[in-house]
Amino acid sequence: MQQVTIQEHKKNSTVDVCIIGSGAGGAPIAYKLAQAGFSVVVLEKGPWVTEKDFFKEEVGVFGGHKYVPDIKDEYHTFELRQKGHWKKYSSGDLNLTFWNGNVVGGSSNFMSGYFHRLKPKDFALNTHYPQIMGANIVDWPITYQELEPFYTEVDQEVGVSGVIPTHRFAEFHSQPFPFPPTIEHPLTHWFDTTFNSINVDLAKTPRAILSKATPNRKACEYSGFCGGYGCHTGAKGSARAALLDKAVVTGHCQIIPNSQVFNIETNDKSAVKIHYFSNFNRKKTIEARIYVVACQAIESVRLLLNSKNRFFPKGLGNDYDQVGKNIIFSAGGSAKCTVLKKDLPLLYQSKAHVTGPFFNRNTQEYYEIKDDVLLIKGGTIDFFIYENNVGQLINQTKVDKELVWGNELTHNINDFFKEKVTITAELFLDWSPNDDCFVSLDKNKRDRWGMPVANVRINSVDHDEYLAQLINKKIQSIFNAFKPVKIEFSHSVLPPTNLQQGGCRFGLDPKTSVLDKNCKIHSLNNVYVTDGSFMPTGGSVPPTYTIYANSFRVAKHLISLLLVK
Amino acid sequence: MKLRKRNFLKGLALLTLNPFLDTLGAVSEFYPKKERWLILSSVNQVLLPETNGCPGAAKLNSTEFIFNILSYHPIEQEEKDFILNGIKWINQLSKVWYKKSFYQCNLIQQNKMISHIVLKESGKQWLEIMLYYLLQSVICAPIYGGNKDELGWKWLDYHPGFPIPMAKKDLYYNATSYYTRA
Ligand SMILES: Cc1cc2nc3c(=O)[nH]c(=O)nc-3n(C[C@H](O)[C@H](O)[C@H](O)COP(=O)(O)OP(=O)(O)OC[C@H]3O[C@@H](n4cnc5c(N)ncnc54)[C@H](O)[C@@H]3O)c2cc1C
Ligand code: SF4
Repeated sequence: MQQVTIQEHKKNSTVDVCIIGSGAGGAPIAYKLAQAGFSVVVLEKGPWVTEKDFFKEEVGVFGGHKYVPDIKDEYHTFELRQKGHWKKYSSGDLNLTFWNGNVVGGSSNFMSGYFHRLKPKDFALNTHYPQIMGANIVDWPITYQELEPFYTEVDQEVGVSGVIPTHRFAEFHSQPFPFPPTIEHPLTHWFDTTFNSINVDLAKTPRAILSKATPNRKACEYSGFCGGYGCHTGAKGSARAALLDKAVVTGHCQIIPNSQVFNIETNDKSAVKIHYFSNFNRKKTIEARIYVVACQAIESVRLLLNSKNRFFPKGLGNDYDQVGKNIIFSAGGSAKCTVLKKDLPLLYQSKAHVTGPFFNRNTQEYYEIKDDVLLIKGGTIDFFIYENNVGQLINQTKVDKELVWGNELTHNINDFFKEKVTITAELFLDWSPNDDCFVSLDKNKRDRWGMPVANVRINSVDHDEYLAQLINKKIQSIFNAFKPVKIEFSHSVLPPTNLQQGGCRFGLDPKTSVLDKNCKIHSLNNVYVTDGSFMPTGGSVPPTYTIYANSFRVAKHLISLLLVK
Repeated sequence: MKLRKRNFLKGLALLTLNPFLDTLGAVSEFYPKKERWLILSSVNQVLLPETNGCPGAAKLNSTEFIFNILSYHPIEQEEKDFILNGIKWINQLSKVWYKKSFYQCNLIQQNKMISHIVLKESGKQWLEIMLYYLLQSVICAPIYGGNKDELGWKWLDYHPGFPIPMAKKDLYYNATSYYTRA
């Protein structure tokens, strides 16, 4: 193959690959293909911010204003079941936003980087576990063994720190993590001993954070606020810091920020052109041999549906009404346990409020659990010391739902900050895909470019709620071992909007899936979808490790395809 | 999930009634900035007084912080209007009850008024918003105007994350300027 630079390609006006969306689903393709010498253009709707733009301050970030579009201009609608009917809201009504970070590198810039792999059985839930009423669970068209080498590639290329878990549900890793675990919070030792005393397996949570520097990226500086914040060192394995920066250096990858793709033009077999709005709303196009859609699940669905034309009147890939179906999130909720500082072993009392080092503990003891006689799929519980301090301060303004201020407020703040420690358990369970959880277009509501917005119908099946309660009982008994003064559980009908999967399932049968095994749209020769939307089931872990791994897998396929062509 | 309390404000900013008094108030009555400042400072000191080791809103410079938020922060106009109307509403209440401005009343009178408005949905929402920003002024980076001399951090033995914004240009990052490319 003759290698040409991106400039030469642009003269010919056709690039090898055009990627829409520069996050975790898009970046591995950009990096691998550019590294292999193919010309790549990445269109990203948001700006190109870098390490120097990120600060740790809660005024902007906590308010949720940074790095996402204004929901007045660009919003989603969603439907919730109320008293047997679907009630429609728009983002503005509840300030529920499905935008999670719209900048080069996508929401991966702001992730916490908890990186758990799926387990072999997660690839075949249908085969291994009893059926769940109302759920559309199917096995994946690939196995853990097929994805394993790409998880290992993520370890190396994105940079994962940790030790391989050894508990009874631990999955096979062909290589150790390339980086040792990040520095840990002093209270983790107290945690380890307590778990040991109740005989529950506790593992160290692998993180997509560099514990040691590499030639191109600094090591983590433990800046005190990580999840929800951009990283000023580049240690966090965002798609930008870990992959896109390297892709650009090859000279074969061009990233075009502030580019909102609104249409993929096709003929009856292939995509021929991408249409996008660039700065100042100028309409532009790009032609490529291969197109990769990676806008995060909900927005990818919207783009495919909005690209309908005379050849695909229901939207691209939607010949069998599968696009947008079976959108899923991470299910579970969270629990908090408050312990008096004076009840901690003496050694730890002065260290309770250390900030910076990570807690990094999880248990997968309940990855499978017995429910009567049946073995059902359970999940993962991640533990951390709650970091968001503005949020904690604000919590002190309410006592039994009544507002307090003045002397009572300052007393509560003192009590909370100086006398107590709060440990949070975040639950990751499978969100069962079902007929009433899907993305469609809201034809009456449009974004500021006049394109219909996505409508998300949100529904979970009874089993998911039941399972969350079962696991909460386990959490309760774990927390009891810490001699807490308070345990609280929180569960919402609203999903964690940052953990989106499904909507463009991959599978073998075009009638029940949108994508084939290689994440190509069944009915189009050259359009791939590689964000989390390919996932038929989510696994009971956060999804980004798997999104990255799958994208590396698709990249390998695309390289072999382009080499043959 | 990003749900914020301010979403329940809808429409409140547009009221012509004074909801704290349940009468038609002179909402359009003009309050010079100095007067608004004095009223808000007094409210802030009732909500976050110098007690229990807390430096209090006055020493923390919380009023400046809130006026900065109103001037620069990309929050919805509706919320800004609601905050400013609340200042007028509570002062009108004060004038009806005590025949003087809120900031001229003594602490007992001021507390009585706050305890009165918290019983009304609109009053409770206004106080929630005030507390929301007041508490940000305790631990914000001092460059935002609050947390003067890092007194809030010292009170709570709080370790801020880093890097903290040090220069004005890093403040009040306005997402809309990035995303509105019309
Ligand atoms: C606060 C937070 C914490 C998180 N913590 C974790 C964690 O601990 N572990 C974990 O596994 N995951 C975590 N995540 C989730 C993780 O960030 C996502 O799973 C991952 O980034 C999804 O990858 P993606 O490619 O689907 O989407 P993204 O990474 O969001 O990338 C999509 C990109 O497409 C762009 N785009 C959208 N529409 C268009 C368009 N029409 N034209 C051009 N560009 C477009 C977007 O602007 C965006 O940059 C977290 C997320 C957040 C926000
Ligand atoms: S804690 Fe480490 S990885 Fe996280 S934002 Fe700070 S420097 Fe980056």
